[in-house]
Amino acid sequence: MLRPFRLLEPTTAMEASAELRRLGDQARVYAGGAELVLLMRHGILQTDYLVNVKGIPSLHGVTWDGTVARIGAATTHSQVERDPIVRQRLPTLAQSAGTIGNIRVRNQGTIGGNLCFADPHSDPEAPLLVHDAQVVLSCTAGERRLPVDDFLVGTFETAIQPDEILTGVEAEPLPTGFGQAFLRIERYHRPTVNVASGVRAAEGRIAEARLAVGCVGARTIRLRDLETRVTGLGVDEATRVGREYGPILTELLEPVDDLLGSAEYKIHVACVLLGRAIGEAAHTNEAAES
Amino acid sequence: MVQAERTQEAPRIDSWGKVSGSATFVEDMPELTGSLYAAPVKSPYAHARVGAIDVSRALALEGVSSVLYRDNLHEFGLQLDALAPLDPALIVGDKALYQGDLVAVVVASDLRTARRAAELVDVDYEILDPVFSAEAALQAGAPILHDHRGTNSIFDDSLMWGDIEDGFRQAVTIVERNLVSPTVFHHPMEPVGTGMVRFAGDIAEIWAPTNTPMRDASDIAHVLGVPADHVHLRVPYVGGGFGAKKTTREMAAALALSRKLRRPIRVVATGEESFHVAVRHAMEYRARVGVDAEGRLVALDVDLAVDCGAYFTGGKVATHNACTSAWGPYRVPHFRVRAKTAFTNKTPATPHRGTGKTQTTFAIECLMDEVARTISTDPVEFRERNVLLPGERVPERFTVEGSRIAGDSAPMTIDFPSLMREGMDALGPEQPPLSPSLVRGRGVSVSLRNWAKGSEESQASATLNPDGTVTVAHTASDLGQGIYNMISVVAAKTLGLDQAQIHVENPDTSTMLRFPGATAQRTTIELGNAVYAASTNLKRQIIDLAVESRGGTPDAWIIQGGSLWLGDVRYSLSDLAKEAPGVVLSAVGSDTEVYPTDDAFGETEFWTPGVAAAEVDVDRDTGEISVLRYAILAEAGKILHYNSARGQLEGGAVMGFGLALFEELRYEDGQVQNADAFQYRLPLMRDVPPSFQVLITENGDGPGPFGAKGIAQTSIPCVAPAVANAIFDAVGVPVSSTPITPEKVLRALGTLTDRP
Repeated sequence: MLRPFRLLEPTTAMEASAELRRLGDQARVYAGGAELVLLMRHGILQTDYLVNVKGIPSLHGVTWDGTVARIGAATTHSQVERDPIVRQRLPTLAQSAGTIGNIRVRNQGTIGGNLCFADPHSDPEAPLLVHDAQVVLSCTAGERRLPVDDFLVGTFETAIQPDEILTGVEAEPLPTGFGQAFLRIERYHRPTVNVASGVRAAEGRIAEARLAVGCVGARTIRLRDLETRVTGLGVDEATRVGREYGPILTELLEPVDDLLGSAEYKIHVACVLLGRAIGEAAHTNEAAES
Repeated sequence: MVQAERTQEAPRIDSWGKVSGSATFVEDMPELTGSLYAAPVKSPYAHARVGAIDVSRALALEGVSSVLYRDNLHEFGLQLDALAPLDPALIVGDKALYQGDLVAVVVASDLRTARRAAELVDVDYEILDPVFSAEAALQAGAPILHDHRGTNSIFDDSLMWGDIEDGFRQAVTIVERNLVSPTVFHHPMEPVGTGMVRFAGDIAEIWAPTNTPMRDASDIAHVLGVPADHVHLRVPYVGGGFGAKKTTREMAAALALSRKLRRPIRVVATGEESFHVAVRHAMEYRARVGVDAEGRLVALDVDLAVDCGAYFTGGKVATHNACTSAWGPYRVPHFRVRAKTAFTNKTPATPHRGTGKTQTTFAIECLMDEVARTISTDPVEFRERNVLLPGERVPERFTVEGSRIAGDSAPMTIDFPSLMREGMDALGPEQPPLSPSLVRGRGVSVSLRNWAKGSEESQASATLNPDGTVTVAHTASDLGQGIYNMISVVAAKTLGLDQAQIHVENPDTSTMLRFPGATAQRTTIELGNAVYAASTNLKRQIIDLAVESRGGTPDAWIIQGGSLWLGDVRYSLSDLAKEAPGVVLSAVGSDTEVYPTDDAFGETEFWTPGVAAAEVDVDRDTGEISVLRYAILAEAGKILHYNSARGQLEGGAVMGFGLALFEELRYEDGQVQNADAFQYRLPLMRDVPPSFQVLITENGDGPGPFGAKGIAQTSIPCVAPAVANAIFDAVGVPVSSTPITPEKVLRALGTLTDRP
């Protein structure tokens, strides 16, 4: 059962950062608790203080400045899923948010919390990587931006500094001509494998591709090598290359057997989904063009 | 056969309370004055020798009252030798046999302190190698659980008829298969093991969810060394059971502590701890089956390995049920099943909805499809050719555990061929799947159930209250099936009253009304008959009183529409009751059947079928499975409440989808890997097929009130085989174990390498 802890409720990111600086290891950031509280209940994680950032007004909501969509870190998955800006500009992110856990988790958990927890079985990470999204990190010393690809380090590990608060996520829509897809397989409450793609196809060939795969390795990754390999290929050929990418994917991700399945199974399914995600993105793009 | 229709009927009497949240479950019960809280200390290891136990740090914590554990057990005045020798002792002695075995119970002023103190109990464990399957446990050199036994083998069971060798000599095709059903957790919504206990004078009071209150009260009386009528066990609403709900060791320990401390104690179990109380028996079904040149079954030889977990709780029934159902409903002239049972370092297995039969039905029904396909016959046609037809009997004589007994069971009444055809028709015309990677298939499965009579009679009482209402008392827990509603319907219908005039009490063992337990789909029949008898007896008393006070003859009086009638003149029951102060009208009714212990199904007087048809899509690339259409066929005898009957069949099937596709407790690396709701996948609403049909027929041939039968366990066993056979049909290769995961499908297809 939960151990007693103190709940701190700062109203600005600066205050929150100051609390983190003051309390050091004794404090954890609470941004919805979908995963954190589970660990606390099981006694895996014990903390004296929780710094609730969900009450910070500036961490909420989605804005669009004409180029970049900014999603406040404390925006819940349900809000991301339903937000008109996200749905229009970052549709696979909206889609991925709608698949997380269950309705209770989506109403409680936040995009910032999800990213900071860095569970390799995250849903929003793959679309964010495809969008070349970046996170905004704030502390009393100032603010910095970091690509999501640099922010994610490993399993439960990010580049956030102990006194930093993730305040938002910024992403641009995919450039004109891109189609996109988000595909996932799940058995438990977390995805077994997920894949996001952004593909620009022209005259039946892949002109540009962005591909990301989650859950199989220590963190969600962009597959830049595969992106290069498929560029210039016909769509069917690119799909086949995706499907047959297993040996390299195994080396890249070093998957392990676990409850969700064997490493062999996860790699196989990831490649099936990659092939499909390339094809679907290419076709949505062509459908949009025609 | 008459197809039952959804008729005008009142909602279940428990509906409003459960929908509004006002129904009282044990956790909703108010605090007893001065209550303490209990927390368990459980073995974190599956197999360990327990050395020194130091409770000093726990006792030093402020608010801690006491600890019950091995070293002070003798201070509690308990009769420990009264427990069944192979069931768990009240508390672990020198060995913990599964992860979750109870080492100590701590009580404190509040729950947090009790939990904290439990963590402060220092136990020296010497970790031993665990064994996690019956087959491994029975091998020479396996770690032995119960040292004094020298073996993990518990007992052997068997059932046979004909001459198995002779049967195989007639076979032209022989198929061999090994089908595996894993350990699963019942997973009721309400945790397993929450209760409240108190000693009032020398009366032990317990409030707990259990499906067998009378048996539990008697067991607890033995341990406490008090007369059985000094244990008053009361059962509030129960949030699901499926075989897992019993009073627990923690509650018995809490009673011992309560007697010593003279304080009430609340025992609170978590969802995670529930996984360590009860699970289903894992079974391995190794079969050899022979068919002759005409495609008729001639021989079936089955070796069963039954994994009972760390203690024997319920192993006898599960194993015996598995033996009696191992042949399905088929005409097998030469049959033999031999079962071996073993202790393993897993949560003790207990009965689980359709106990023993979900495992064997999966096996025999998958086997029948494999045989059919081996001889290039349609699986439905193969079943039509081989299933017992109405009028046929299960072989006349059979041998059970070595003794030959007469088989005088009732002839088959079930028309399986027509039920199967109805099931396949209910799936509608076949259509191609929507995507090129998908393949579609259909499967059918059947099961046959004999009536398992209770071990003792069932009783109920009916009492006329001064306000003209009637109170029915009994000791049958409502675990969600709608038992109270069944009681209300039967009493109202028998007495001629409205349901609003019937009050159904919660079970209370101080009434000493007998009932073997809400198990084995027998409650509607046996308790229903008792309620019918009690109501009939009370009705007679009411009419006698009416004759006495108003004249007329007993034949002239009727009770109808909630009132008494003498000719055209109406009298209210409340007037009658009020005019006779000091007269209490109360009657006990009993199910008058005699209940001998039957060796197999020799005493069976009627049969209940289970039939299901399924349509699935399988993604050949990912192995993902979707059940698109599912039809359940059932034979209810007589439906007492349509929505309850339908709910039981639907609920059983949804639970079956869990067994078919998702559920398995994984024991690896010395530990159970997924004993929490986050990692134990249950069926979700979205797993219910878009087309989900329930077809119930009523033959009126049941032995229960108004011709009713039990149907609660007829839908669950058919699900895994119907789905497995549909997958087999779709992909062309069989999967031999549940849950049927996408990964197993890919392995069967050869997409992934072949490995266990």
